[in-house]
Amino acid sequence: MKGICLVHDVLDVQVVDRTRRKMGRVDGIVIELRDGEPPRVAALLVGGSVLAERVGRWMLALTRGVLRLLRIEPAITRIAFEKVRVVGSCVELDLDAGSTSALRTERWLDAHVVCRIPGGTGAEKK
Amino acid sequence: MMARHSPSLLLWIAILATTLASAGCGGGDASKEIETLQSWRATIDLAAEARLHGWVTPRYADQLRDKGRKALSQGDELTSSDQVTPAERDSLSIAGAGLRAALARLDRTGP
Amino acid sequence: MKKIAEVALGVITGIGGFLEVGSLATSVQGGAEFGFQLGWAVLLGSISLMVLMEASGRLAAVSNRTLVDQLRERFGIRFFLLPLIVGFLVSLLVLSAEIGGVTLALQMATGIRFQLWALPIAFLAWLLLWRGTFGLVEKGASMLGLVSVVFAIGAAALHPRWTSVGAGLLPTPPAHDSARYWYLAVSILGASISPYLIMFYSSGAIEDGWTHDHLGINRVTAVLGNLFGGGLALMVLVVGALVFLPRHIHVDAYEQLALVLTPALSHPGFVFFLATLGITCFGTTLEIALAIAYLLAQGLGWQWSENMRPSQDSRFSTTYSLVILLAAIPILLGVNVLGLTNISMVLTAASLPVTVVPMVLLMNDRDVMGKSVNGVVANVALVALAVMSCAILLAALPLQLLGGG
Repeated sequence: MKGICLVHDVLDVQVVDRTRRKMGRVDGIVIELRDGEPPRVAALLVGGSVLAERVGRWMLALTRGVLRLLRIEPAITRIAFEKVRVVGSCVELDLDAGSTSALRTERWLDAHVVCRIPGGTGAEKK
Repeated sequence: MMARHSPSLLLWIAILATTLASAGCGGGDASKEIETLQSWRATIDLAAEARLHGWVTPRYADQLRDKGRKALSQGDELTSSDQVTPAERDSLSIAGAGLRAALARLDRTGP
Repeated sequence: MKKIAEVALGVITGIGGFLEVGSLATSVQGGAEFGFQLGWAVLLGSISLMVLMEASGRLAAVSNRTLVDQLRERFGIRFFLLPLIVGFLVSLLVLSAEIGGVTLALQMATGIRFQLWALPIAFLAWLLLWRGTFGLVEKGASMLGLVSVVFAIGAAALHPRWTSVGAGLLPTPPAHDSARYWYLAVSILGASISPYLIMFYSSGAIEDGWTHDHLGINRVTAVLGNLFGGGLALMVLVVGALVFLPRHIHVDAYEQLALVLTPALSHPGFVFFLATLGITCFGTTLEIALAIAYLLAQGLGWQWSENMRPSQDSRFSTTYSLVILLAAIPILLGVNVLGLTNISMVLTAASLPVTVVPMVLLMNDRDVMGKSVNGVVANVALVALAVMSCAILLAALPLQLLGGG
């Protein structure tokens, strides 16, 4: 079985659901350390706070501050690694993006802003 | 594997901020002001020629006239200030007079 | 036959979309102050853009990912933050300048102050992006931008000594005011080699579904489009040199530019200048707004496409909407458009390394490019560009202070 390099092939890669809808990027990877057993990849994380933490403490503090100001709860989407179907040009998941919190902001904007503007909804333009 | 490193973002933002701030600096230089007045004299002359031939519209000529007058008043301000030497003051006056005459010629081309 | 049509359309798009508020201002200023001597900067700018656009188009066609995708994936978030923030800020400044260009064209045409046009133009641009497709934005605006060919007609009508124009294509040291000369050279380069253009082009390759089969089209489009477009920018410089230089007119206000075609083409010259300014700046407004939205959406992994309904990619559509509004504010407040243009061109030039340097690595990465990695010629060109862009970054601030006048 061909191995994958987590940093090179998984981290920061585009995540898509089973309908190939984009739902963010792999912002973090959770590795579970187990006594007497090799570590295993437990989950992928998608979320701005995870990303901010990777940049640095200052960025995390700034992100948390802005979210607090806007009264938004930071959302980190945790995807069990078992849900990963394919790792290639993107990470394809065996789930529907709507069943996760990854599209929370997208859905909010859609419901409160975009749909209220004429021409915002409907089938593809092309 | 690609190296992941910390970028010097702060350095770039410092350059950006300083460049933006420096944009408003300068001025008060007599030779530069003389050049500006002469340039505007030439612009207004060209505008008068264009107006005379009907190449440009009256409303556009008005806009250039306003710009020319603004350049003239800036020149007059420097001329009457303490920042210039007597020789510079003379050169500024001559340049200002040239622009003033050009504006008068533009006025004569009609509305 | 279909491929020929596609190539022709691509080339026309390149020509019609080349001029905008920056290239018009910097080329006329260059001609007005140094005659044909800065022709080499225009040539270098368009060749550089050719190299970068061909590379980014090839990258997208081969890897099925855009340049921004690759920057995030290959270099990680800590590096990506640099092109993200720098690209966002600089593109926003240029977007403001472009909206300013449209509003100034309308002011000169109607007499109504340019500040009052800011919101209507922002609204119209937003509406076209909201309701229009990628094809409409890219090709529609560029087709209308062909009006800028008037500069070639104007230049010809002034009967320049073409041997002198040709001589200007080789760099020569200036006879006076070196700081100003190099400042304008950098500004001209910044006007041509805009990172937002490269991001837009690579995103466009994905929007249009480019694959390996489009590599030839990509090459021809990038080369010919920018060759002819750069030729047009050169004609703008020639007109500036023949009309403003003999009269010792230095451009201090954008309004002066509308005179530049009148000696050659009389009233039509005036009308077509305003049309060129308005149309090309409007087209570029649409491009930059999309480019900024592409930058954020692709970098952060959002759903994106100009061909989707806004509700299908809410974050993407909200981004371009907000960005247009934000960029209109300085114009609404009456910021000096020429000053904003000049600064944004220098900053664009200074921001090139964050895009060009990583591209050198990406275009040689077989994991990314497969068999389509850079050959020797492409590498020499790209590395030379990277070195030049770093030199510009170091020189940008001193030049702004000494030659920004």
